[in-house]
Amino acid sequence: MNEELIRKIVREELDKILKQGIKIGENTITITGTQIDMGGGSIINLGSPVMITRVAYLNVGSDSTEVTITGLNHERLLVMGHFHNANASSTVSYRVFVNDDTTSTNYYAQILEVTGTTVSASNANDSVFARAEPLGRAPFMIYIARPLGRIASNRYIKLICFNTYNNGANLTTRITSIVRQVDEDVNITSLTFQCSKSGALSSGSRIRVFDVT
Amino acid sequence: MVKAKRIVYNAETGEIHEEEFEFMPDEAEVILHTIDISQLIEKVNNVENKLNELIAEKKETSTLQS
Repeated sequence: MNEELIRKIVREELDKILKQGIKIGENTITITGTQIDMGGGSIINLGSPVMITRVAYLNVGSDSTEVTITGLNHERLLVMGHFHNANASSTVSYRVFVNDDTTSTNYYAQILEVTGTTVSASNANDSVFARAEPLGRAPFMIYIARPLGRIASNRYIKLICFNTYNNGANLTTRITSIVRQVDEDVNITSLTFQCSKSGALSSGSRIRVFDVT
Repeated sequence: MVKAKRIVYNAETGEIHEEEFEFMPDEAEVILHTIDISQLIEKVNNVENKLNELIAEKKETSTLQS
């Protein structure tokens, strides 16, 4: 009897047991599709739960300038992580690029930055979405959606980005919206992160990519 | 242009490699508009005080005339 056959038998037996329900005290809990029936009229219906699956995790092992994640093919992605800036004298900026398009002027960014009571706003023909202070570790989060518009003139990959850098009284919150117009209705196939100073996407930076369904 | 390092990670295969590329470091980011909310509140308060003074003066003048 080979391993595959053993797995098949175990799966079938487990399936039979689960179909009979789980007996806890006087209650029998049965699971059918997305519905959990706990007996006595208590039914939990999960409907269509949001599924978040990690598809990539990168721990940057040496000081770099650019990181590219390929092999993706997703409608919606959530990216979480932090950038480590090993540069001791400069605050650096980080850009995000999608689907191998690393020409920054193909993107538009609307930026809102808040430090203390100072609110700054800017619009750039660029894809800068995060910053990190000298020797700092700056967390970020991005939600990326494939083109939502179905007509050619309104076909944009859109990104909503959050980032924080600096500390204490200089703690800065940064919110950025980024768009990239595309010709076709495409999935997200690759992501590139690039810093403004050579080597400032430094060792210890971490990037986690999740598929959102 | 300077030589810089790029890390390429394939999420499908798990393969990772490094390569060199030409890179142009950036100028500092330009912030176009800045508002200091505490200063803005102070300015609005000043305008409000001035308006109250003017209204009070106007009322005083009207009372004297009548």
